[in-house]
Amino acid sequence: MSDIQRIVAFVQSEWRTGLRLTTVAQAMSALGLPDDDEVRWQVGRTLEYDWQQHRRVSGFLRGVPWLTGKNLGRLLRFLPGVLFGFPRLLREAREWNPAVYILTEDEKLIARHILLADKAFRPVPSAAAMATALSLPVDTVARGLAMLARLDFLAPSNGGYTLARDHERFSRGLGFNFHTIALSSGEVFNVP
Amino acid sequence: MLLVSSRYADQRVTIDDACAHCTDRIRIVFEHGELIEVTPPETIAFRGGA
Repeated sequence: MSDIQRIVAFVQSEWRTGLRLTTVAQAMSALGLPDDDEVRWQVGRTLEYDWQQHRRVSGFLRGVPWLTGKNLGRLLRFLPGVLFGFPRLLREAREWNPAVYILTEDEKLIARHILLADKAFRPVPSAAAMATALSLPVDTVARGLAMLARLDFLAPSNGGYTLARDHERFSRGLGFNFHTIALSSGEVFNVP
Repeated sequence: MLLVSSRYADQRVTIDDACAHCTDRIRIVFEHGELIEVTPPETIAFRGGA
C-alpha cells in the first residue's frame, strides 16, 4: 500500500468515528510521515475524486427512471453510503470543501487573515506582513499561499496574489475555522 | 468540550482554536476534565453539559 493510500485509509477511518475531522497533515504525522505539501495535495485530490465517484453513483441511482415515484428510489439514494460506508460526518466533510482537510491550521489562519484584509478593502498582504501578524515563519506563509493558490482560493497576480473571484465558496460548512484537539496519549485531530 | 469530561476524562486535553474576528490563537487545556489553562487569559470559556 502506498503512503497516499495509507493516509487516505487513516483519514477515512478517523472520519468514520463520527467525532474526528482529522486533517491530512494530522494523519501524516500520526503515521510518522514527514511534512510534504505535494503528498498532502495528492491525498486531498484522491479524497475529492473518491467522493465525486460516490456522488456519480448516487446521482445515477436517483435518476433510474423506473424507480421514479417509488420508495425504492429513496432507499437507493443511500445505498452507496450503506455499501461503501459513508457515515454522516464523512458525507458532511466532503460536502463542505477540500480546504477543511487539505489545509494545515496555519494555512487556515493565513486564509482568514486574507479575508479580514479583504473585508477592510485591503489587498492580499505580503508574505512578510502576514508572517509578522500571525507569528509564523515567512517560509511557512509562502508555502501556505502557494497551497491556497493551488486550491483556487487565491489567484497569482503581478508577482503576488489576489483573491479568486469565487473565493466565497470556501466559506461553506466550517470554512477556514478549526478546533484542534491534542490528547496526552499523543493523538491529534480536529472536531467539527 | 463535552468530550473532555466524558470520553477523554482520563487525559490531558489541549484545544487549539483561533478568534473568529482577529485570528489570534486561543488555547484551552483540561486535565482530567478540569480547566487548568486558558490562553490568552481574557478568553471566556463557556462550560456546559454534564
